[in-house]
Amino acid sequence: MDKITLMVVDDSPFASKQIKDLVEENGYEVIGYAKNGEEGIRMYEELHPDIVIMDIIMPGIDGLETAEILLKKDPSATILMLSSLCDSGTLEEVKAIGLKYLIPKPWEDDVLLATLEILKSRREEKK
Amino acid sequence: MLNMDVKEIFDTSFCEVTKKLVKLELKKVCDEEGKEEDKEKADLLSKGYREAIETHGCINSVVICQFSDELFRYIIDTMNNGVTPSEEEAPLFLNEYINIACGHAISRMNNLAGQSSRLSIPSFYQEGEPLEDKWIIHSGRWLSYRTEIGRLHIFIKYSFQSEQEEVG
Repeated sequence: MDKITLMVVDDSPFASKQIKDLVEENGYEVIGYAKNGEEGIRMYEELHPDIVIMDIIMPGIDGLETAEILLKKDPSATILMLSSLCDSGTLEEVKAIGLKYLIPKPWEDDVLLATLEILKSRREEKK
Repeated sequence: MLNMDVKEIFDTSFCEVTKKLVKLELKKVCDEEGKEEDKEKADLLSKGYREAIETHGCINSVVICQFSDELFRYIIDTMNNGVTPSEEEAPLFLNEYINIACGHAISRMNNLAGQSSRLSIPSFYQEGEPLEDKWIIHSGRWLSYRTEIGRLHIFIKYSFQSEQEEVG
């Protein structure tokens, strides 16, 4: 079976390296890393990853706006938001653009992996 | 005034995040009101490695961290899996550290207030580089920590949007 492909949109090399190490040990493949929202949108159109892991606080357009743009272009896009801001108001903003998951930074590895598994199962159910 | 201890929340967040991210215990050695005439403290913000970040919303704050050279290097190396990052990447690791620590604090405060505040993108200043004028603030709260590696000083100034009353 083909590996589920991921793209990370985060201005932090720390987050992108940690995510890559964790997910690739667990059967996923990171096929793209974008440092900001604009680059993330361009890269998504080129790579069509199965899942996007997106930070919220980034220079330029933030992760929420980037996710909204991606969803307008591709309503089937699967996006997991990550942020150090994880209060109920931010979660409401995430839900308002049609997403369900917001993982706090620093994340617990098992929480991130379990959430990816849920997103993976949902994608498979949709097929 | 909202019923929360902002300084205490920042203190807890920095201690928890530092332990989780770089396995280091912060031991508080100073927690005091900064005074304009305290030149020694004010001078701290003009040297060493510094990070500055703002919050806007229900809590408007400025947080400036000053790291000793040893602590700065330890944090960026540890966050990069024990490898010294390039000069270009090093600030991004410290940006992420302060972003996560302050994000934790602001999330707690947002939940307590039932309102939102947002974090700015952090600014990094290396040794010898002067802070921009907008960060030059004369009174606020100082939290100072020692660790087995080096020292961290945190300067916090804040006000609640509802009152715009200085409580730093």
